[in-house]
Amino acid sequence: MRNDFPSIWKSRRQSRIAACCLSGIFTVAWGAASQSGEEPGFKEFIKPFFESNCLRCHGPERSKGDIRLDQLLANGAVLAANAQVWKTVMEQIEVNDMPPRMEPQPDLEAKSGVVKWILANLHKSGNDPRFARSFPAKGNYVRHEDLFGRIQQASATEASPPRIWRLRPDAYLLRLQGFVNQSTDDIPLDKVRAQNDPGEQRKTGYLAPMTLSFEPGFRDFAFRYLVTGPEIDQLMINAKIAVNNLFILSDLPKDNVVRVHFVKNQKPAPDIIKEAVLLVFRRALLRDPTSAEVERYMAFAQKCVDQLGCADGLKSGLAPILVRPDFIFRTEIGDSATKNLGRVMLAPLELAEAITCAFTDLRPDATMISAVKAGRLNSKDDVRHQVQRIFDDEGFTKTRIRDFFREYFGYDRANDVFKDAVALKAAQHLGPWYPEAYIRDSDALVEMVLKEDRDVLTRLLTDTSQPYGFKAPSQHSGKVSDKGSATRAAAEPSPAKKKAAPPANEVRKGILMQVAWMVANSSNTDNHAIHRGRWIRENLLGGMIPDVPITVDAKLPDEPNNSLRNRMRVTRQDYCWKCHQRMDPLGLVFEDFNHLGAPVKQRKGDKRYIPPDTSGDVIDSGIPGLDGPVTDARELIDRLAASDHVKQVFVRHAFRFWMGRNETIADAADIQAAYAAYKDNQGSMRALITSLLTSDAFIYRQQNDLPSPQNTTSTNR
Amino acid sequence: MDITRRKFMQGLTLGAAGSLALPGFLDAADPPAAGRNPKRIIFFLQNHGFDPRHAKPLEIPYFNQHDVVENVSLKDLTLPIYLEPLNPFKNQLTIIHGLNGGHVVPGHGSPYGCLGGYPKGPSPLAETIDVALSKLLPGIIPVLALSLENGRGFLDVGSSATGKGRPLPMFTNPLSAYNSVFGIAAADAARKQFDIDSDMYDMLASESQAFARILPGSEHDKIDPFVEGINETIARRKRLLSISDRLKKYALVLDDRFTKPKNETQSWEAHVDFALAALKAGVTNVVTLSAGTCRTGGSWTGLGIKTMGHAFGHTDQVDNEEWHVLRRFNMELLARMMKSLEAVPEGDGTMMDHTLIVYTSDSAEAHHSSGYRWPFLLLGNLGNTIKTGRYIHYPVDPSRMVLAGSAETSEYDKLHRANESIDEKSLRLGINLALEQKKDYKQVQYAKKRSINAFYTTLLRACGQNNDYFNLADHLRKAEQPGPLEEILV
Repeated sequence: MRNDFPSIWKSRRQSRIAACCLSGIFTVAWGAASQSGEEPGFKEFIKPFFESNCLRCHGPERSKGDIRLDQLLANGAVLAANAQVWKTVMEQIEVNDMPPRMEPQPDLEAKSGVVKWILANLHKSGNDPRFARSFPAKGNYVRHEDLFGRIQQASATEASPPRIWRLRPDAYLLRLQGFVNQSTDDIPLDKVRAQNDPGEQRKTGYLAPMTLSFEPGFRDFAFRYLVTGPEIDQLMINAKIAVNNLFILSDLPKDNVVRVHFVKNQKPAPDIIKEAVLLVFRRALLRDPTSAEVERYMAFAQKCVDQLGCADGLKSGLAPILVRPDFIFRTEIGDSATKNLGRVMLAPLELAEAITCAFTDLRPDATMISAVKAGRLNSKDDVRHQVQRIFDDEGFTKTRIRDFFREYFGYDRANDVFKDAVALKAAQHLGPWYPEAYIRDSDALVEMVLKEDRDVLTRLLTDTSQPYGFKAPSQHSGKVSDKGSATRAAAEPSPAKKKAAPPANEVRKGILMQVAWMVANSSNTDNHAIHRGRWIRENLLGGMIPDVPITVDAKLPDEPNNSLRNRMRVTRQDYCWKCHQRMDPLGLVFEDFNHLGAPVKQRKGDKRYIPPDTSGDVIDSGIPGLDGPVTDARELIDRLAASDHVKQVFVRHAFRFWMGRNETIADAADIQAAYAAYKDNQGSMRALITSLLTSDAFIYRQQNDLPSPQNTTSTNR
Repeated sequence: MDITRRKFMQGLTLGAAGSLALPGFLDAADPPAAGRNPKRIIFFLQNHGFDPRHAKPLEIPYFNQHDVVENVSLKDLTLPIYLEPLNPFKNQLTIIHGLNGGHVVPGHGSPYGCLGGYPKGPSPLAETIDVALSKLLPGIIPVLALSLENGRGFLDVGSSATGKGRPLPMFTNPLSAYNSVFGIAAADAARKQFDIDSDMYDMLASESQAFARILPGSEHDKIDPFVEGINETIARRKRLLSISDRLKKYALVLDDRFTKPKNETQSWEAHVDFALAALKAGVTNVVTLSAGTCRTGGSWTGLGIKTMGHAFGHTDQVDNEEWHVLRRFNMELLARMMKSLEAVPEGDGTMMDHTLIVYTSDSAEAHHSSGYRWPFLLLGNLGNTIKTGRYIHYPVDPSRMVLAGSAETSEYDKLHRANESIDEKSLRLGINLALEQKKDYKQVQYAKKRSINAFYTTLLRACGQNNDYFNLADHLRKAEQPGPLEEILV
């Protein structure tokens, strides 16, 4: 096909001109077509784009990777049968993998137009990939330059959509506990989490049937989780236990009239049943029932009591309240009374739950509920006040901030990578393998940095002080105290601190060189340079790696005496390298540590020892000053940590975590404001979170024309 | 509403479960009436791998190289010690070797891939064979999916799927599973409670529908499955109520294995007993029992096996007393299932006459497996549609068999590869050879004649559905003979 365009490819300069001309025509035509309300034509623009940029390698004469785009174009349409190929083509263009870097490039606008065309036609054919892009790992598909470029005027229709959000398992269990005993402030969260262990469940009775994804990345996105048949059975069982516990084990006064009847199994009068309904509603839903709800639930509870007696009857009669969707899901619908320009503010109780959930799995505290009742949670300033109050309250458990860092860095996944005895022995590890200790070390680093709350990301990436009791795996006792090795060592500096500084090639720089992160990104027996590189590419550089094609069987050759870098030669084949160049050179810089996170050292008498090659490269980041070779992980980390772009990517991830969804272009103003808050406050996480929680994206929802739940504005407890 | 998204959301299971009582299945399903002979299939998936040497009759050489199908009667062959509990059922047993499942990449377990016949992964790529069969063999619960308790709570996913991105939830807690089906069979005093519970679900359905009405369209993707889940529960309870006599007849006396299981072994036994009771009561015709939900893990401390969890999978399966104990235990369970189903008259024979038990491992021939020689045991003839009493060995790629004969002697190999299966070794060497000779890597890897997909096609054919392939990717079909395994199908 190259022969068809002999003059275009004579030189790079000429080719650039050709590409610009083509894209210019494309843009004008696109604009004209859009103005006339028509989709841009396939023959006029799409086909020429591919003919100019793609067919030379993916046409009748050459079909690299077995891809023949001429056949795709011959059809002229996106169909179910070829949708997967179109999706792949679109991804390749989006992530700038195609055309290859060394080839003439069409301009961004032309590429963007083609992507839009493919997207629109995929949608028409029922293969819209946008849902797949709702997952956390796909957040970077929104172009960084669009988010941090000129802000377009946001319209009301672009406000966050109203939504419901299924509770996390921990939040559900705490909600049940809070229903029985309202003084949940003292509940140790770790103990609550352990309740989903079957053994613990047999003691407490509750079992959260819902789970969270085990995939890497942020686990709790609002769109993601449902509750269906088999889970509802277990929710009902839990609900009955909780109602029983309310009248037997709770903090209710002993002389509470409902409690007395329940314990004595005395037939209750209607007013006592009403009292029971009110009590359960207030504790479960933090509000009074409507009169219609009182009527319905009283009638049902009465029927149950008549059939089963007081105790069993109340359990069955009231349990459905604890399985209602507004107990299992958190609502963010908005208060229609605040309607303005097509958007509404979250109702006060919704705000109270949303703010609280941003920090903890507990329910809103008494102060927050008082604010709701007193009408002091009706504005952005009110939200800011509550957020500042929570930050100022050291007694307020802020587990979600720690969760953010765990899920962002993914170091807590060290527990999920199995290391067998053979692998441990080969890596000269002594004693039992206990990755939890290293996870706690990373937690401790996060806590330490958060305590000072300055240059948080930079310090997490570059800190070398290691004041948190880190011990090399081969020296680790394998046991931790109740408080964890990190906490213990932070309290009393370990003797190791007084020793001479480690050699330069054993110095650990920040969280990426801690054991937990390295193990989390390792395989059973080896380092996993691809996972490490991918994490850096996506979480720091903000890039995207397309999904592994189904025809690729991702396996490295097993050559025991060969280094990982050499064995990864298979990924340097043309077909693989266009993606792997974005990962492998970033992930191979950690090769001076083994898959247990311990420094690679020469064994005594090992004459065949070859010092590890830690060289790497930042390829095609698209960010000025970031590309180029590095000698090891430390140099790479320093370069990344100094980059404003990396900090912006970090802010994008924080946005995703706290909004429970991926960002869109409509969120550009909020994201820029969050970045400005972070940067202007010397890298303060508190400033960043405050900005996010007071953003329009957090507080406002698109107006829902359906009747709003009248119950969301009144509360009682 | 975007139908793709809608379907996806309905099926999401990790916290977004599909349902045991699948929409669309309920209406089609009738409880088996007396006199009918429905076919039944039980998938029994053992974790950590199924070493082919455990299923090799003593007279058959292990590394026999075949370029034709080896198909001999088991009658004059001696079962290995691991399969001894199946000796009384030798005429109902079929041993299959040589099926290819390399494309599943089954090493370390194969979530959805084992029963799906496609690359394993965190999300299923298509429906699995048990679900496909359940459409041909409908029941009140289309697929009764039970998993070994693994600490993840009440439900788990990983073995079965109703479609792309739609995992099928599996009960991990035997008591919850049992109560959800046989709760209705409790004493009369509890019957009142059952009726009230039904009212409770009605109440919840009505409240949830009211809640759904205030939500915008996009959120119906989330709330509708909730409402549907309640309605399915109500419908299932009604259907169960309609066979309450049968449920009472086959109700179990619950012992500690259900109420206070001490270990995984007890939970596993409880699952087996519950599954048998559910089959007899006519609740389902397809059961999937999966130890570890196709992930690596799962301990068998109840059998006295001291090597725990994942580490157990890393041990050699031959000349290993712990593996001997585990394999025999599961073979004894299979024998128990057969005896139990043989004891129930049905038509002119027994329930077992219409049943097929499929035993294999979700990680193929080893914990660290290649999947190129995936062994299966079949018990029963599924209403005279499956041949029995046979030892069948399908040809394995000759080049791979030659490679399997070579050995590496490096120190590292001794340390790391002591437990490597022969197929894993051949895979490793095969890839290297392909690279050295600049052969097409994929060609070497996928050059196979019959796959596990062909076996699943055979099961579908036995149940009345004529497919040439089941879930076999297009790019693999050129190396695959279409249609069922004629050596197995009657």
